[in-house]
Amino acid sequence: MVTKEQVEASLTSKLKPIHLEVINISGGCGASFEVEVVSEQFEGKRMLERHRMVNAALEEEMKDIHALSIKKAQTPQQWKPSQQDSATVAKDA
Amino acid sequence: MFFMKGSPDEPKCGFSSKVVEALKGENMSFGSFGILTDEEVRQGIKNFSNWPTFPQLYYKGELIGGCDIIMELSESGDLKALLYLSK
Repeated sequence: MVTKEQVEASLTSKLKPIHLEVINISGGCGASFEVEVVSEQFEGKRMLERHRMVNAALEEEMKDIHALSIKKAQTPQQWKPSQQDSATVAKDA
Repeated sequence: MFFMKGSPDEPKCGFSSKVVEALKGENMSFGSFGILTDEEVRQGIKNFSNWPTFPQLYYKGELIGGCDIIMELSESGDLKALLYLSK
């Protein structure tokens, strides 16, 4: 049985996320997880490629996971656009 | 082409069902294949696309994505745009 901790450990070691949220939504029919990942490694990658990276990071776990829902796969800039904007303004000033 | 669990009229999985609803909502016509009926196709598609889960939506032989990506494209209005643009 795959645990939330295993999913977190694999995503952390492979994608080095600055934000990670793993929710275990396992119901009756097998292990199911929802994940949110914010990582520098997504920079310049299309959504399809980002999902591939998450799937690849969980290659071992996927064998025993029934469903994986990737709620977010964002870059740090996308995740906190407001902070990024104010930082840019401050730099320009 | 939509590879799903069950059929559009009788989806056998919540994720497949959501994509069918999204495509119908956009008035799109699409072909579908129920992968639960054929284990060889199921494994073949997974290997072909290097994508481990179903459902999978293809357009002109190219993988668009799974349920999460289709939902995101549908909500942002990009699903329709994507399919019109590539016509």
